[in-house]
Amino acid sequence: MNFAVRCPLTGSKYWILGIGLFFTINCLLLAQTAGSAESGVPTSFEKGLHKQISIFDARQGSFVQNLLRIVYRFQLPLALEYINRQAVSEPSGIVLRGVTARQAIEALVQRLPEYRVSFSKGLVDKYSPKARADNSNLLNAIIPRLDVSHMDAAMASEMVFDALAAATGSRGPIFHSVAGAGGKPVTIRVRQMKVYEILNKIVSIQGKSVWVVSVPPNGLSRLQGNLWHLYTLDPASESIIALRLRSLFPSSTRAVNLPSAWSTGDYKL
Amino acid sequence: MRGWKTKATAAEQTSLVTDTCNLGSARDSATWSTDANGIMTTPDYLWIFFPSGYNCYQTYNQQFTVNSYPVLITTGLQNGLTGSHNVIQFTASNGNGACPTIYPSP
Repeated sequence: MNFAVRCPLTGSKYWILGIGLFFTINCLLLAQTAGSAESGVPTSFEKGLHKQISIFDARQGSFVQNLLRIVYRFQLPLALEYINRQAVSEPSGIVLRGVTARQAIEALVQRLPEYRVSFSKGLVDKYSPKARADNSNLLNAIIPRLDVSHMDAAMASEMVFDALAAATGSRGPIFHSVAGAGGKPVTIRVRQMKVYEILNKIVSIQGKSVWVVSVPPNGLSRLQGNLWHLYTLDPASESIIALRLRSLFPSSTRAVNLPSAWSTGDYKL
Repeated sequence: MRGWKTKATAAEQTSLVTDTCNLGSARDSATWSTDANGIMTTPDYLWIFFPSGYNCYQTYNQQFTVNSYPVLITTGLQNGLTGSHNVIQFTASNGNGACPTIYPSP
């Protein structure tokens, strides 16, 4: 009942998906497994978490800006499941010396009582326990079944959205035009898994991307096109994410120009 | 996206022009990085999720900016079409989609 056609157009890859009685993406290629530290050898993610920062000046800039500085500097996959006004507008107001990247992130999160952070499963996962307990939050919706084979992570993320639309009984076509994430293709087979868990899995497998909720808390219960986005860990994406998140809360924010995470400014490894 | 000699940020804007499908949602406004030659580093993936049984079509206009400046789109040597935006049309027959038609338009 389902098919995927790769359209032979020049310059880009165009896909049309027809969806039948059940939502599934048929696997066409061999399954692959995600890398892990089960062998005892630290993964690049774990190495990144333990990078030393001699001085981390986060007196200026919001929580989001400073969090992005760290994950982009050390190339750490990230899930930003929840975003509120405080996270994009209030200065972090801390200066840290002699900390690891993980400790710096933990210190940032401690400034925001509503947030928690997890470092398990190969990504930095910043979430709100309250939002996770909210049944109306579509990121907590359960996807009955989703199979994605050897697919670009950005496309896989969009497949999750289509699956969410199907699971919630949404009617009408869903148009997608997304930038590929590149890097490692993603293969997943999930059953009865929450939306945010699937997105975390995609980002963890691909290893060079972040997914970011793109609506304020009161928008999490409504199916809308910009519910979340997936970005690469390419440096250009850092400012794009910060700007987009700041635009969600226009009345209380002001732009703060931070030193580039790629300069020798605040970070001294 | 050629012509830029430093890395840049390309962004798209899409707008629904004609719709007989009763659009459910749109996920777009993607952004790309370019390399030093102005080439987008990853493709633009375009597709539509059609529910079963749909017989309809949609047309979108797609524009790009590079570092916030509008740019022309060209097919180059393929057939020499150049324009300010792409016209993208999707059609569905009984819920099955065909490959979209895409061409630059003035």
